[in-house]
Amino acid sequence: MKVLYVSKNFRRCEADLEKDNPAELVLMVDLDRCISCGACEIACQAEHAAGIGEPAPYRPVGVKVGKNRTAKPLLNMPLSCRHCDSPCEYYSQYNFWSICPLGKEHKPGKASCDACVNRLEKGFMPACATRCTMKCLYFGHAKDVAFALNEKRLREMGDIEIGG
Amino acid sequence: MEIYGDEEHPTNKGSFCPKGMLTHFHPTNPNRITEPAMRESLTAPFKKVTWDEAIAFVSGKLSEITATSGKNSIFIHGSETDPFGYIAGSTWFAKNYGLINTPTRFFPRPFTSNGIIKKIFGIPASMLSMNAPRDWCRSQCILLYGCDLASSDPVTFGPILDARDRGATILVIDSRKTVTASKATFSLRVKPGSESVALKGILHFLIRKGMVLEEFLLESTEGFGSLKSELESFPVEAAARECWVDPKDIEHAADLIGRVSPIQVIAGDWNSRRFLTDEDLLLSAAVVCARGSVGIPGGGLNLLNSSPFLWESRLAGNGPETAVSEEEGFFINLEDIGSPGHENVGALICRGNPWARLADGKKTKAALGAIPLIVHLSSYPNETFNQAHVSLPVSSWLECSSLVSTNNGRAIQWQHKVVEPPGSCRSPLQFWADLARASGIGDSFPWKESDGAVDPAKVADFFLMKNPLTEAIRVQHLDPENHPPGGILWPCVDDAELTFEDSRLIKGNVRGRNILFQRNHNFPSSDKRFPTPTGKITFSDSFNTAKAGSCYASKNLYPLMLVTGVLVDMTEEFEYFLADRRSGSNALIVKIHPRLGRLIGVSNGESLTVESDRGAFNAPAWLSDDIDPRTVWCPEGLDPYQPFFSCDSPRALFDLPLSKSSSRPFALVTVYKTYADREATKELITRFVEDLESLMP
Repeated sequence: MKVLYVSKNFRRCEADLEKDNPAELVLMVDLDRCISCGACEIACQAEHAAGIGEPAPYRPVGVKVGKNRTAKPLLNMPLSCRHCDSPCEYYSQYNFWSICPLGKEHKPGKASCDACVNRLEKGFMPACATRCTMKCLYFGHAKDVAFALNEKRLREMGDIEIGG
Repeated sequence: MEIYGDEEHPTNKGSFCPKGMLTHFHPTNPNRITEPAMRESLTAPFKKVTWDEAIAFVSGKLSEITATSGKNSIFIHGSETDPFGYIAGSTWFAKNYGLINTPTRFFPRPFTSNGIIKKIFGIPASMLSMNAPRDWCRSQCILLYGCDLASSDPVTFGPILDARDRGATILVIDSRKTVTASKATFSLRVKPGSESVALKGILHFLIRKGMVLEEFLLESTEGFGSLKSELESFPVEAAARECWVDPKDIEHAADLIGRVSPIQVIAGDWNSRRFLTDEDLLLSAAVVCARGSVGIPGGGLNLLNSSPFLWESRLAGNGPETAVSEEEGFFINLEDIGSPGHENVGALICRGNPWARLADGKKTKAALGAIPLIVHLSSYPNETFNQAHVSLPVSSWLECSSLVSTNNGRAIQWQHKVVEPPGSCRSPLQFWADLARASGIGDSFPWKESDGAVDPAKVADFFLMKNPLTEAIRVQHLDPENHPPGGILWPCVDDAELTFEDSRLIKGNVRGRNILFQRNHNFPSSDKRFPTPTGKITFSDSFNTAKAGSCYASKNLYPLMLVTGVLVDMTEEFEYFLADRRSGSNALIVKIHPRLGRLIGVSNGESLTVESDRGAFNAPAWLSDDIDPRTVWCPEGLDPYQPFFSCDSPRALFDLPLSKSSSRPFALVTVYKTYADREATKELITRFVEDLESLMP
């Protein structure tokens, strides 16, 4: 699964989903709409929790980035495991963007984001994409997400009237 | 049990806020209070009793208190955002029991029937919501005034982002740097309490640049001329100096407003609306009128949490025309109880958690602790529960059918009971009906079944029928099982208005009239477009030119300004289910500017004391450069009795609200690391603030 962050404030936006592997699943996060409410985090936890009051077997999707867990976060944005090729041991405190959201707390026995396979099998979207308060998480195959992305870019152009 | 949003619902389109997503845990929450309890004194432990025993005790006590101190010593507390069942039941109980201290007395003053909006538009501010959220995307510019919708009403913030995505300009004027402001096109972060000054500057600029729609003002308003001449003597530079911003920023904001039409102003959210003053409301209305944005799609002044019910104590007619204008001194704050004029308090009935929001905490809580009987309709063991003598468990919204009359969309909706309430929980309506029966006035509740149970549909129909603005609506029209979701927009006085609006300009997706004050439409039960005496928007009052800061007498003692806000992910009631979030990330924290942090030698996460002349509290510091160095920010809504995240409420440091005005949105404070360097730190901060102010142009 690929995670794609989009915002019109990003200087570089070159995501070309048309060229990607069409079978790959993409989770698109529209940061222009995200208010970091944490609904995705709660949805993830509720989805994967074994039972009421039990700690979730999964380290849920987080919306807070920061090295110190006790202090307030440096940045709020929805993050999930990108299943990247570089394993978490390469966690570097100097390169901010390479910090794994699972960070130091990642325990080998704990699983990370599984894209809610149980829900996908039943035909539902992942819990976080279903429950997002601001509808800023999109999930699907590359071509579906490309459609949502193009739609967002068109919306930013405002209303266009053709003909008449 | 699972909870899913209704994707066809026009307002939320199937999404929830984090708290809403967890509400299906209410019935199974182990922290929930499910059994009635009583105790002799505040220091004794609670003893479990049956519902009937508790009701009999309360009714016996009430008659005892009536005999000794009179009925005027019984108070029912409520806020305008309380559930329909609680307010309707309590108002009806008070009317029949002969009480004058109804929840209405505790509502914010500018929002009621003798506030300034009533003089301007002819309807009280609590009813003013000109266009429904699905119409907001037609606005060209939305001004969010003193509200942090992204944190307080995330679901209502959705339509605003939709409007922005369609090209509307979002402007924010707030004293805090909020999530809402970070999503806006342009935001003005002003000095706490001086939001209205920024609006005056904006209006001055609009008038000077001729960006005022004279045609509209001539046709639909009266008295705007005198307001105009008053504003002309209020230059942008003076406004900018007073509210700590660059004059260019005010001009830029005014320019954004002045270039487009229609514009829309949204003032206050459920949390910050009690800080709005008459002046705030007057100037917001003036901005909307200056751009001619009344009665057209995409334009208007929206004061959120509107309700068609005024809950007048006498319930005479309960509409704008027949509303009894309440005499001065009618409104009281919970903090006033025990103060001169209100010493004689025998009993207080309340719900929710008003204790956690009391200003001047120590003194007020001591005064309230002396009340002989406090009855709390409880859900969770919060601070108010811990200060009560009798606790009666009430059902949550899932556990009883109810009318939903107060919301951000000007809609009346109906929601069905989903599950049986746990333990002995009963609906708030049932509480009032049972209390009436035990007090011997049970027959005056016309909606009661023979077995004593209350039929919520009958109650709703009774009040809808009594209200001249909802005359045509009945519960059977609202049932979401058989009708389109979204309810019906009020005012709705005609059966023809029970369907979707479909005209050349407006295609509604909620039943009812989408735009208030449309041209060629008379306001219900009035023969004019605006139900004012002149039939036009009337600006009869001049704004209060007194400067916002008469509070500066104590400035040397307390050089910093404390402002508070709500947190969007404040789910303290449900932390039981969110094991991984118990790291304390939501607990009380003090946000200060890094420059101030350096000055007093505090780094991130270190303990810091915030002190005002009303008290002090300790919390870890959070250094962040998105606030002004002269201000300090704290989240509010916590209390020391919460099972998770227990801490003192920062509202305890605030000054008492004056009896004739709104609460002040800030408190004057000082901060220090240890008590030993308190004086030295205060001096340092005072000099630091003076230096900053001398740098201002």
